[in-house]
Amino acid sequence: MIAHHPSEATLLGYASGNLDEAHRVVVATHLTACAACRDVVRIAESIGGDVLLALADAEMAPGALAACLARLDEPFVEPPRPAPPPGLPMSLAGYRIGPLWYPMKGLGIATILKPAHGRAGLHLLEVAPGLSMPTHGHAGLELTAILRGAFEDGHAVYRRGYVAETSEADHHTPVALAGETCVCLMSVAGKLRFDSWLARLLQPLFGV
Amino acid sequence: MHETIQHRWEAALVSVPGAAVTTELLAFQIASVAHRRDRAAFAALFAHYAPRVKSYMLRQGASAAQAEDLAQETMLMVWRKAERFDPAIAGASTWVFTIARNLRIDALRRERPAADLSEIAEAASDSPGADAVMATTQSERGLRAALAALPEDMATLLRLSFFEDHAHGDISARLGMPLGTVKSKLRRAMLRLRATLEEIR
Repeated sequence: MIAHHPSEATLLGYASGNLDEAHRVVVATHLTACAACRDVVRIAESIGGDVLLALADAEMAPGALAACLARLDEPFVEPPRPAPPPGLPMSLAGYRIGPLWYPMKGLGIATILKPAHGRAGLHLLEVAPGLSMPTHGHAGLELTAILRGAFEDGHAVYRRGYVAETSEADHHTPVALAGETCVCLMSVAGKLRFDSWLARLLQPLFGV
Repeated sequence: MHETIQHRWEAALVSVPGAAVTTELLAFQIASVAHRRDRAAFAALFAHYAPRVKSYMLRQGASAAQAEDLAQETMLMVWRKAERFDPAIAGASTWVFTIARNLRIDALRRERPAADLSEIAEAASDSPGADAVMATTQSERGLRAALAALPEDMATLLRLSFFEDHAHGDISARLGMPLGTVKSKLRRAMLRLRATLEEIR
């Protein structure tokens, strides 16, 4: 039973196509494991269908239908779906993940999408058992999907399949639980505000 | 004999101008495209959806030319993927909406593949039987009723969610409502809709 999920607001953002790509990948990762959230997304998508139906018609270009009809017989082959990187979920299919970078002993990071133009960044993190991440606050939404192991942040324990969602008001210090290396996929919007010396080290990664 | 009558009935539905367009008719037209490559049904679907998809793209900030292209591409996908339409999973408009949404996402970032929920969901669940089809039709209706019964501010927030980039922060700014309030209202709205669906099941 999964105890922590993305918020309904985030799932609505996913269904409406308005989430940043980085957040979308983290939510898609959770959806592969969570039937309850797939239900919420389905409901949200049917609201999308209603919204579409209720829109006033925009005028199509003259000849638009004829142009479409003329293209119906074009051959169409669906592009093959790429495989995800080894050991990673389907939601990462097509993404290239470079080698992990170790800013400190026990903490490995690979940046999958760089934060740019106000868009969230996407990072794969590998945290050794018992290791504490630097305490940080948030300028925007942060989603963390746990792929392996578990961590706690003083409020709750997050296990494989769970998603930790934090936003502006939150300030936390995630700690990987003892026993197993914790691997997670994290999307971060805006700047993280680190308190420690690690700030200077990690700041370039998470956007300045 | 039975088939001929059915054909006439379909032809009448597709061609009568001003005939009421119902969800069932639209679903039927998509099935007709899937099974018979029915161009008349496609033209009817085009007349109904293309202008709305264009409208949706314009509201999402696309230029007129992009919106026109995306609307046409959406309709081409309806033709190409019609066989994958499963009324047990989604209503016609919901299905068209997800195609339009995915094409918009692809257009926004051409170079990377999309994480496609429909494929994730397909992998996760077996193909539904006739009972499930009935159940979904019922839950679609139930959902519409539940949506209609939501307090106006909740329904408005849900609908606004579909149009704002970085949705909830912007809605919060626009309505002068704290972000926490926006999120908790959305949460309550979705919980209510889910509860309604579970009751129906």
